[in-house]
Amino acid sequence: MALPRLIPDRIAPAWNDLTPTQRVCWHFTSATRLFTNAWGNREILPGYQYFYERNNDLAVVNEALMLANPPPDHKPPQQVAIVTVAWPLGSQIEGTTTARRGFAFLQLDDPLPAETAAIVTQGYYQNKSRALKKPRIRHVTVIEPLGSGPYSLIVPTGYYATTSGNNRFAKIRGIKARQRPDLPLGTVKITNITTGQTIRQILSNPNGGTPTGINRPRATAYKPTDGDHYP
Amino acid sequence: MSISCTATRVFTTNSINVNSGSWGIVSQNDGSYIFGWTQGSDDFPYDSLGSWLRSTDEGQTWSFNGNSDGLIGQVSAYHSNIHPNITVAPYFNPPTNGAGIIRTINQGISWTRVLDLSIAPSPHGRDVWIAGIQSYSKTHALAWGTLNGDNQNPPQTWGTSADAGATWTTHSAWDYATPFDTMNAMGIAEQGCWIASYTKGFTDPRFAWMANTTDFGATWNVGASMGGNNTPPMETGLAICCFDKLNAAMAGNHSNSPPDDNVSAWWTDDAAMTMHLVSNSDVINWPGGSGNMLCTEVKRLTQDACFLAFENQNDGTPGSCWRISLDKGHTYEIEVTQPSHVQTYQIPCGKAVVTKDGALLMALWQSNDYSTAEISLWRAPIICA
Repeated sequence: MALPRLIPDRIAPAWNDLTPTQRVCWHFTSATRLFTNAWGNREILPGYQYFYERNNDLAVVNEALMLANPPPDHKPPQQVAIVTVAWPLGSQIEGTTTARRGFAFLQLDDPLPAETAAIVTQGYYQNKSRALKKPRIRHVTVIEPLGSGPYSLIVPTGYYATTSGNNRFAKIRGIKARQRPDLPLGTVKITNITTGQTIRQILSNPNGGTPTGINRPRATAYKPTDGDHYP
Repeated sequence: MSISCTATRVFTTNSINVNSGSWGIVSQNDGSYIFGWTQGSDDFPYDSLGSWLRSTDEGQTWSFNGNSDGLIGQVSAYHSNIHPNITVAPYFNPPTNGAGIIRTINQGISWTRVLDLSIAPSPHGRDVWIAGIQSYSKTHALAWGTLNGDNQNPPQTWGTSADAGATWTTHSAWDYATPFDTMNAMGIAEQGCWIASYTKGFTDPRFAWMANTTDFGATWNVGASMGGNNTPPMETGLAICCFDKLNAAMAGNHSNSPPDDNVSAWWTDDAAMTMHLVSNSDVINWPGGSGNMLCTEVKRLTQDACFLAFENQNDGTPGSCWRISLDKGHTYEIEVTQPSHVQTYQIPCGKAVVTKDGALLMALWQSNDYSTAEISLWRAPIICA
């Protein structure tokens, strides 16, 4: 598989490939599309920053979707229903050859709209002290437009083969989600690919409840009706 | 994707003396804009009243905010905002050989004089004047001009302020061997490189030279020489905008055989060590005729784009020309559309700012018959479609 790259490695060359007219248009279109920063202040982004802001998520979904021209508006995407599903520890499918334990995945009953993509990010901060740090993003699952059905959150083999310790992805495949049911399973960004506009949704932890060690409710086993249980 | 830019007039002053008139626009850190101009009079065009307007809607409407009456001299065209509500502006009073800087801390409602220079008249006919002021941080400002028109070495040619224009330190020329006549223009890049143009030689031949500094003016590196063997080669009206440490665009009056003038624009990619004429010379460089760039503006728009405005009367029809370059001043392919009647006026071009909603804002001197004149304000949104 391809080596992971930083997002700027995708966006910066794309900016350089624009025509001078396109670059100027990004600059002056930004003046009419105020950006709200982390402190809630409205500001005008310079042309490159506006280009980066609009293409940040599209570069993750698919480089080919990146906008060369500033979008006509900032129309947000539609909300989509993504169900989180868990096979808790100990669940077994009778009569099948494979049993999955502590497994979580996503289920899209309806296809994503044609102009919508989703980016699922997962990661848990594993410091035992539970310091107030944001989780490190360990894995990204992209759901392209019109995608539907089950989506595995399993990290591809070798994705972080050279890492260890806190980067062990096995932790988030389900066991970790089960160990930390107080944390969401992940975050999903729903992106309108025609405008680059994104809304965020929290993916609830299917093992949801209270932290480990407390008498918390167990997740219900999910049993496929037929075929391989692998989602 | 294409760019269009159409200018419309948003304000016109009352009639001013045809021989006077100076003007400028500056953006304030509070989101407003200040526009100032001088009234002049037939008896004494330079002993004038400066009037100041303010706009809080990106230059669409303007209202009176004060005047600088009582300050001798003409408030010149260029001024710079360096702190919220603080604007500094040069003033100019040739009859008394005075020049200096005035300052407002209330967006033009009232003004005080913060620098006075009064120097003996020049035997070469060059008056004391301050050409422009720029700011390069919220507290630091730079002024330039010919502060000493006399044949003295070294002449005072530029000044700096580190306290938002409250006090100023004047500096001498960098080349004492040949006193130069006029400090024409300066450009400043955020990275700290200044580029300046000056005309050297009180007698023929006179040349325009370029120089740069990377230590805020402590030392200067003399670069390209430009101009011809006759007067006045790029004497006045030059404008410079710096994109970064090396790249800059420049425009000005360039004459080898007066009274014919060439309207020319240049670019450099080595901090003015070498200068290059723009490649679409049929658009920018008019040989012969009476076109001139005595009123010129080169304004940086983005990291690569700039706006050029200059007077063009080369074909016998006075008018102004406004163009946009997308390639650091190498070419100027985009023309700002003006109402047709404007092009029948003689319009030396004023100074421009870019509004936060993406429009050019320009102030122009215009006269239809040379018996009356006025200053008008123009707004040109840059539209992408």
